[in-house]
Amino acid sequence: MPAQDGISDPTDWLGTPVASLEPLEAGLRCEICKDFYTAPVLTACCHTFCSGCIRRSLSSVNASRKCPLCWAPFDEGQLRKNKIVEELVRTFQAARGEILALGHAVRDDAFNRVESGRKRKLDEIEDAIPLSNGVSPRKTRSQTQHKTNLIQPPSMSEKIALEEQEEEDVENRNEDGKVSCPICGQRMPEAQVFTHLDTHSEDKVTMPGISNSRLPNRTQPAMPTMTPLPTLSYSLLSEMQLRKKLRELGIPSDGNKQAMSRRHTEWRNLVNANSDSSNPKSKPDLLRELNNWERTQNSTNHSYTAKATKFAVMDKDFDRDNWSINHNCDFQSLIAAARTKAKASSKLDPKAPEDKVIISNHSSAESSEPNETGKDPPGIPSSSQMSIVGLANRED
Amino acid sequence: MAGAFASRRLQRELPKLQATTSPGIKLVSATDLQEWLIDIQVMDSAHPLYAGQTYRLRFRFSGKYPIEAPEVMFIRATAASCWDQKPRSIPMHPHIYSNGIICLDLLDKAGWSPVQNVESVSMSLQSMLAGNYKNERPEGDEVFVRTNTQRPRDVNFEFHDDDC
Ligand SMILES: [Zn+2]
Ligand SMILES: [Zn+2]
Ligand SMILES: [Zn+2]
Repeated sequence: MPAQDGISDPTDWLGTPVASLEPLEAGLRCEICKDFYTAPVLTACCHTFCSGCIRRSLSSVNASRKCPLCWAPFDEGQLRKNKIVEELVRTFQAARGEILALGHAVRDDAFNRVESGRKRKLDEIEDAIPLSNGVSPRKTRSQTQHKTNLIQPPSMSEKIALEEQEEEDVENRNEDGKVSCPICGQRMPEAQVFTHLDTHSEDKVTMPGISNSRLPNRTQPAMPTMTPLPTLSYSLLSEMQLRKKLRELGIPSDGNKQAMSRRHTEWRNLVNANSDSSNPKSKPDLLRELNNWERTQNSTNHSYTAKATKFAVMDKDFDRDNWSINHNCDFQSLIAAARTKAKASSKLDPKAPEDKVIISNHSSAESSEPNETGKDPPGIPSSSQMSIVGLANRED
Repeated sequence: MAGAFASRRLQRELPKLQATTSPGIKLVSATDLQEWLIDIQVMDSAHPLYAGQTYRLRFRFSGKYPIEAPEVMFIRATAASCWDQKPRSIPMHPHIYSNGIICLDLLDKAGWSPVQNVESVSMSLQSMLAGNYKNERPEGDEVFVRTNTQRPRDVNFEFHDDDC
């Protein structure tokens, strides 16, 4: 589940005096949704994703229970909360707007100083002309000071940033070849981390260095987290049994078996991802999300296309550079439109801010069907190198 | 919220792709967040097969992108419809059928990873062309093109061991 941060992007830092924050922010974003991590979890191969993203990936018909980044196989049950990353994301997001504004201010300030400095210098020269019998040394000095002031602020801060970066690099170097536990920070050989992680009982963990008193926004979960749901073997359940199961879970139980299986999978992903969050949502909130998901499963794609046609870029007379210039504002307005919509709809229903910008998939029903090997088109010689086979035959 | 998920991801990719610095990859059209056209060129100006040629890729996204792979294939285009007044054909390649369907594991259900994006896929296809010097179609191309009624993503290829 993506965090609600508009369309912010790590590249927002580029062009500011703190451009070095770009890779830091990129590191705080999930490789699947490209948003800031929401309820980040650590995989068995030590990669981090949003709990919801990796669970969706693992439970999609396409997935083969492998890490999307390194293809290491693992089970959903091996996912562990990555609490420190969650804290980092939260604190970074809280500070982001301020630092960015500061960055812009420093940049604009430097620019203004250059401009006003230039102007003042001109004034001084003009002033000096009538007194051509002798320009006072004081004035000359103030001019030189001006000059240095013009250049110094940005270059000084850059220098400091550089020095600090170098210091950090030295600090982070692992001289002992050990790694830190992502939860308690204890140093240990890399191979031990996973066994060690299991010793952390989720609720008793206190994070050294980050005490709750320093985190004013932290809200303790108001209600007990819903217990994570196990997988169901849909093929072993009858339609009636599955319907009963959904009723017990308190989620809609209409539709055929396939619809109910899909709904249960989505519900399980929502509930289990929610249990990885430090600020879990309430069941009514999750039910609303399930309802939103359900609507995107059934609706057709009219909603977006009508709006989108005005952003059509015809490829006639395509010229890349000009096109970039001419259409940059189109994309800006596309983004602006999406933002406004998200804002407008969040006023009406804060829990469903993105409904209006939905691209729905009219073919989702067929696409989520497990692929059947019996559908081979006729006429393909099975001896051919390009024979058509089921997924199961693919070992690599 | 699968639809919102896909649209959010694509809205992130769009401005970046539009400003992309990857040589030989051009966003031609993004009429909506469902179908994008990308022109690719092999940057090797001495390539015996693809030098000076531009090929057109069509990406189609489902509401489950990027959890689900996009449908990607080469398409033809008339000269009049292209920015450089040159027609687009289907590149000759042992893993590209003459109807534009591509046999590449990363576009297959089992080979797709949700960390991929439009630009990374385009770059993979670019290098798939750059590394090929065989002026041939896949075995069984004629039969496949004549009989295939499935959408590209529903075709299950057995991947060749070589450079596929
Ligand atoms: Zn994510
Ligand atoms: Zn991994
Ligand atoms: Zn620990």
